[in-house]
Amino acid sequence: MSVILKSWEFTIFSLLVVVFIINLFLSPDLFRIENLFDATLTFTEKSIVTLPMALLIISGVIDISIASISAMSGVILGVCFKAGVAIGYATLIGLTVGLLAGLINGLIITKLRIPSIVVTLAMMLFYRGIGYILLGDTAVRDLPERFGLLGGAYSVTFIPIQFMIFIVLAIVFGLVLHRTTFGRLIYVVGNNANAARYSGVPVDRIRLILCVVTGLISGLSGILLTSRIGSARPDIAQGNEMAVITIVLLGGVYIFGGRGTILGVVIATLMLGYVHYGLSILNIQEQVIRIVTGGLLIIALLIPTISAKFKVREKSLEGG
Amino acid sequence: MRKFIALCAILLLVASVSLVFGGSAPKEEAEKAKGVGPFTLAWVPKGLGHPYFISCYEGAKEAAKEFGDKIFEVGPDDWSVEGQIRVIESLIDQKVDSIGIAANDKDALAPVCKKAMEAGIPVVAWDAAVDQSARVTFVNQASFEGIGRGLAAGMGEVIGYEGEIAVLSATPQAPNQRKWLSWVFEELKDQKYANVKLVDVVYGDDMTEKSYDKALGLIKAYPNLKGIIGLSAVACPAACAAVTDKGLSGQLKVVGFGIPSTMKDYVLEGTCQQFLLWNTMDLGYVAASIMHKCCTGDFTGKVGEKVTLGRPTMGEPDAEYEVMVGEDGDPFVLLGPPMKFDKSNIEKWAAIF
Repeated sequence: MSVILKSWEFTIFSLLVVVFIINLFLSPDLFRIENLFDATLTFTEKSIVTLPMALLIISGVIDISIASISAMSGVILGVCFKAGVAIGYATLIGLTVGLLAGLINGLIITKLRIPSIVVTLAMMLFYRGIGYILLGDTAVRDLPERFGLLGGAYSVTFIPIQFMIFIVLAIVFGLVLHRTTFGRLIYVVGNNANAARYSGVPVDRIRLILCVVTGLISGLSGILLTSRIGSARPDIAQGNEMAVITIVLLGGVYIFGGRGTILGVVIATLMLGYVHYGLSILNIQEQVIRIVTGGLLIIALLIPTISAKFKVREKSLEGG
Repeated sequence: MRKFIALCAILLLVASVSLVFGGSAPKEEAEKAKGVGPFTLAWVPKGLGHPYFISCYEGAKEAAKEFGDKIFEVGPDDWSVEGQIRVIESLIDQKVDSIGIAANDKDALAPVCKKAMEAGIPVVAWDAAVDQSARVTFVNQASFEGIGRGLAAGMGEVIGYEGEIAVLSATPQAPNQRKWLSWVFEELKDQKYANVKLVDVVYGDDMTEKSYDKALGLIKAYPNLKGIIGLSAVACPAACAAVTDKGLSGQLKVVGFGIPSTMKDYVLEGTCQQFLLWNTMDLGYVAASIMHKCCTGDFTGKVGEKVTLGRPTMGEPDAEYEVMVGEDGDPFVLLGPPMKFDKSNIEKWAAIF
């Protein structure tokens, strides 16, 4: 029990409960279950990318081109649809584009051994640029109505389809990370890539696979967003990379790899999402919301550092 | 596996907490009977902090005060489509009585505005429209004809209807630029401009530096140039800067669009004789008044419908507005002819925005 109480997941879960209680007091009649699920619409696109990003960061790699991949996937979907491709196939092409973008990132990172933050910084500009070249200042409008259901419709009465996708993905990613050999190897790679390499762990292959999955899910995120706003535009998802990394770190994933859980990331997603929702239904200006987000992140980063100073170094690693 | 049981437990807990506390509230209770104020009006500009939108909100506040309504401003700080969607989602949940929006994109904002309309919240677009299916009406700040003809007429007036003129535009593709330009041409066909010769149209892509260079190019290429029409709020001050730097202030005259505070110095030193802009406070006042009338049910947005406001505006001294139909078939309310700024009123308006 004391292990649970000390865990990071418990800390942010407590925060989530506090957020709920504060929200209940501030706007009781607005804090209703339909509204709560409805509110997930504004952050699910980011949430689904937090899952592969968590795995990626645990393995010691980072991808900051995800928002650009989202935009590029959405734009290419729109361009294909405009060129007469059926919307189903256009969606598949959009997903494939995301996957390929991830593959390119992964190949450059693993084959050329360039630090991932540098590679994906360059690719962030590159992919975003492709979106702008294809559409410029324009947007593809008149996407079919049934495509719009993907991002905005509800599956079981009031639970948005998007949110269902997030839950399913969270379970899949959680099982992979915590219940499979592959998942265990991700931690090994993140803890010490060189040691892992010498003991025969296929470090590069693991990281490559994670990059590809991150690209694919970023593509899916872009498609959901395109569906929700009903038009394909190159300027969507601006700043999502920072939002996603914020959630992942807040969820207790260690920025230098080797530590973190999917549970923590899921709780952090919900917490940050509802902090934003609670603040915005009180009509608090967005600048203030940013300050709150930044404040939460810095607290999240400080707590482990400070508590480590007061504690004798723990032998076991968490989460593994 | 324990983690996953914990995860499921947490999700269940979250759901049940919200059910117990929130779900018990009766659904329809919050819905107000239509037609009885005071109403809560939500004012959504394209973004926060720009003087243009601040002055629009001033006008909107005036209207809300007149009706005793509560009005508040909320918008995205990054001027994005997604930010506006997020804002409107939260306004729907809050069940405000009406939403007034200057849309960052006509189509991308349509789904969420439709959702608001379906939830019984009338949406009034102002400054920049959302698709007609997702709004009650659009308060259009100025017609293309009024602006185009107004700029050409102003140019004719300041150069004494004689000499060479040129146009500095933003981009050749932008629809508003094209339409304004075609009305400038139309106005110049009139007999009184027989001695006015339009020698060139150049494009500065709405970038200050490029527009400045293009203006310098015009000055070099046409030594007899008498006037430049700056067709955007970027082009006009850039043309003024070029003319001033070349020491031609007063000989080569500039008219165009502008924000009073950025144009003040050029107007006072005589580079820019006059420039146009709609009255932003009237724009806010008209839009917010219509929002209120949507709430009471006095306004439905049908073509030909008339609406009377609490005070006269610059465009409609009798305070009566009528819903018109645009070239593309969209019904809208027109604010009126654009406002002219010159030495006589620039200082007053520059202090405002």
